[in-house]
This record gives sequence, structure tokens and C-alpha cells, in this order.
Amino acid sequence: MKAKRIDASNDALLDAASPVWAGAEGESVSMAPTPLMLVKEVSPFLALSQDHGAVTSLRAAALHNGGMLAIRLQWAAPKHDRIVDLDSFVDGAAVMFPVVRGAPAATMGARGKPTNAWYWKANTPAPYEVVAEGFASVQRLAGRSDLKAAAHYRDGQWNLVLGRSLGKADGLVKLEAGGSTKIAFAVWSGGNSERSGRKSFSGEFVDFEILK
Amino acid sequence: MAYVPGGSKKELRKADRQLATVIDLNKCLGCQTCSVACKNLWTKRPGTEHMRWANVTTYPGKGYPRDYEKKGGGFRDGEPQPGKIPSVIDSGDNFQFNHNEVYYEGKGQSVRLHPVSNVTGKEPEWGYNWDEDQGGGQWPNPYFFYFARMCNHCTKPACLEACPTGAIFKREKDGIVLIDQDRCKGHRHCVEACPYKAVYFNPVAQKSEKCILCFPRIDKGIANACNRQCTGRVRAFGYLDDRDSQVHKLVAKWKVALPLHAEYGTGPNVFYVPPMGARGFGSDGEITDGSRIPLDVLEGLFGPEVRRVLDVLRTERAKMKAGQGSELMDILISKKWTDRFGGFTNDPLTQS
Repeated sequence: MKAKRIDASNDALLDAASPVWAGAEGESVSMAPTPLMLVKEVSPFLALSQDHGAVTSLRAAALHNGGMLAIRLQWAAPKHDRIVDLDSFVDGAAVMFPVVRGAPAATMGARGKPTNAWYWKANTPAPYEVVAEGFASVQRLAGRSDLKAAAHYRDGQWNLVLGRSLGKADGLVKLEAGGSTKIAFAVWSGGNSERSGRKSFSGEFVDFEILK
Repeated sequence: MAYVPGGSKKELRKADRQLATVIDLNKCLGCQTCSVACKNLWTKRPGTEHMRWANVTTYPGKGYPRDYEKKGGGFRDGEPQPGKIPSVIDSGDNFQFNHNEVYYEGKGQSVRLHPVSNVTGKEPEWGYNWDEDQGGGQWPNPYFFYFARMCNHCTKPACLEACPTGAIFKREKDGIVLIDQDRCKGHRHCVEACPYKAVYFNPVAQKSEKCILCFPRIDKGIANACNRQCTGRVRAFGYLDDRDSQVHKLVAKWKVALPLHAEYGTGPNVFYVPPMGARGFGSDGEITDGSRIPLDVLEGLFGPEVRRVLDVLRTERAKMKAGQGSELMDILISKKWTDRFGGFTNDPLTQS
């Protein structure tokens, strides 16, 4: 996947419906249920799920304006954005990058090989930065970056843009114009009680270039 | 089983000692003092209104949360079992009453004081203790008993095994199972996994919570509130390995206190002295020697040891009646309340 540079304000990038997104090369990403064998050691109960992975495809696109990198995710799903009872869950999405080369996506990194994810939940306006060296060590880091999210739901589809300033690192993935890294995606369908490892996942990291 | 942060479940460490509670179901009179003691201390915060970490229901009945025995979780032959999350209504709802209307708006004679479900906004159809005192059995031998429950602070906690974020741990020094509120992400795998449904989701904090065995009191030598406040001297508390404690004597020496649903495979550390029940009527209206509570009902809760335990209780009671004395009956009577708490007898008012 490639993030082209365009001349646009941060506000325009953070608007999924803005015409600036017409210039992005969107990709269709096929999503699959996470293989729960991987989490069995961390939570044998979590691994009992049999019907997660309700969302099977996602449209992903990326743009930057020299200052901010924005990633737009669009997927069709029934909307669940409120906790209405103790057994209800909300929709969510995440974009993940390796912090170091060779970090595995399927296990959210490994000891000494951290991953960094941007994590958005439909009932929480501010997204989180997440750093993990494997499933059991997921840490939510508030205030570590200027990560922003803008989401709207229209015609049975979530339209989400996640954006963060280029350049900064501080334990997170270093994103810079002219640089390259790798990227992976996850989506949680709240109506299907998806949370934690019960989700749809894009598989192993794919190349991600931030064009000059 | 303390959790090793960043590690795997294979690195869990066992607790060195285990605190336990024994509840004598022959003496519980369903007064709810334990429930209220707990509620007042721990679950008056936003999002905890539906929670009763300590609760008393009538058995037979649906229990609390409603139908918890049918909601899965725990282990079968060592294998984890899927479970369901109780709803707010299952968990007792949070009734709202028209106090203002009745007490302050001059309608005391015309309007009935009545509850409204906080979930549906309508007349409630279920709530905490909704089936109180209904019980079971057929005339002339109806029966029921009160059943006090709380978190079992299990030796093999399903909640701990279920948590993918390492938020749940078991204190090594006393076996108390706690949820680290800073680490909990509200995924509720613990709620699904607990076969006793003793973990509750707080929808305001979006984290799961449970009985903390009043650990701030325990750390100061004060028994936990539900046990200490029990007016009926129904509850004993202490370390299972403290040979001087009533808990040890009832569980290990006299072997008359049994865990609830041991078949769930979590090693619960709340033990029950099964109820002997009132003597039943025979077909001609005569009073028989048999209990009104069918043995299979008790075996369904406490396992096949029930018959032996009831025999021990009957034998010891007969000895007491005959003036021969009985150590077991003396323990169950507890003439001095301080004997109940395995040394955790400090005063909450002066120590806290």
C-alpha cells in the first residue's frame, strides 16, 4: 500500500468524505477470522470462539500532506456504537505497524519485537496508541502521540480516518515521508460480540510506502 | 496463581496460603445483612448499581445472577467451557422508585410506591431475589433454604485463565483474586469464564469488577464485611491451613463444609455446611425422621459427600442433645463471635 502526498489540510484528510480522498489509491483488503490457536496459551477461554470475524473485507487508503499521515478505513457492518447492556460490545478498528523489522503481525509482535497499533472504538472519541510485544503485553498509551480519529457511519458502512503526525517516534513506529514500513488491519464487529482476539484480521504485514 | 506480567499462563505461581469462608446454611436466615454490608462498602459507584458481590437468594430458585448455573464457564475434565454474560436484568437491575411522588408531592394516599426497571423503564419482570421464598417441593413438604454467595477466590480461577491482558491475579500471600483496574480492558472473557458468574461488568468504567474479599480490611486484620457483619454467626473465615481456625476445623478436620459445584473445576474456597432441613410429614401427617430437602437436590449442589456430612451433623447433634457435648456443635454455635474469624478480629472502626 502507498500513501501519496497531496496538498490538503489536516482537517480535509481527517474527513473520510472529503474530495481529497479521490486522489488516494484505495485497496480492497480481505479480512479473515483471527486464528485463535495463537491465543490459546494466553486465554484458553478466548480461544473457544467459533464465529468471530464477521467483517470479511475492508477498503483501505492512505494519504499525507507532509505533516500528517492519514489512513482511511471503510467497511460494511451493522452499527454498534453503544454499550446498551452488560453483554454488548462496540465496533472497532485498528491499524498496526512493526516497530522493528521482523515483528510478527499475527501475534501482535513478540518479546523484543514490538508492534505499534492505532486503535479506535466506536464509543470512545479519542483513539489509542497501542504497543505490544505479543498478545499478553498489549499496552494502551494515551498522550504518546497526536493520534486523531474521525468516524462516521453512513448507508450501512463505517468510514474511519486515523491520522498522526509524521516524524515522531518515542517507542512508536517511525513514519516519515519517503520512508517505508509495513501495515496490517483489524476490525471488530460489536454486534457479533467481537473484542480482544475475537476479530477480523488482514493477515501478515504488507509493505507500506509513504511517498515523498 | 500470580500472573507474571508479559509471561504466559504456564508461568502462573500458586498462592502460598489461602483464605477461605465457611457458610452454615442451617443458620442463614436470609436477612441480607451481608449483601448490604458489601453494597455499602464497594458497589455504590456509578456503573455498579446492579452488582451484588455478596448476595443471598432462595434455593431452589434461579439464583443470582439469574440462572448463573446455566450460563457456562469453568472447566469440564480440565477443558475450559464457553460461557455467557448475564444481562443487567439477570444481575438484578437497578430499580427506581417514585419516592418523590409518594412522599413529597402530596400523593401519599392516591399513588402506590412502586419500582420501575432502570433498563426497560417499565414495571420490572425480574430483579434481585425476585423468587425469594418460593422454594420447591409439594405440600405437605415444601422446602427452601437461603443461599449466601460471593466470589469463591478459586484455587484455579477461570477468570484469571480467561483474561488475555494479564489484569487478573491471585495474591500469593493469601489467595485473594483481584482484577487490576488499570490493566483491565473490559473484554469480559472473565465474566464468560467464571462458572459462578461472580465477575461483573461496570458499563460506566468499561471494566470488569468483582469481590475483593475486602483486602484493605484483611491487610489490617479485619475480617471481610459480609463475614464480619453476619448477624447469625453463620460464617467462619480464616486461612485454610491455620489449624486453630474454624475454617480449617470445618473443612479439613470435621469435613462438614463442602464447595459449591466442585464439578466446575475451579477449586472454590467458599465452603458450605449443607442444610439438614426441617423434618418432613409422612402420608398420614405424622412427622418423620427424613428431611424435607431431597438428598439429590443437595448432591446437585455440593456433590456426593453430602450424605456423609448430614450423617455427621445428625450424630453430633444427637450427642449434644444427650448432654455428651460435641466439638463440632460448639464450633457451629460459636458462643464467642471472635472464634469465627481466624484471628481477623480487629475492629473496623478503630483500625480503618
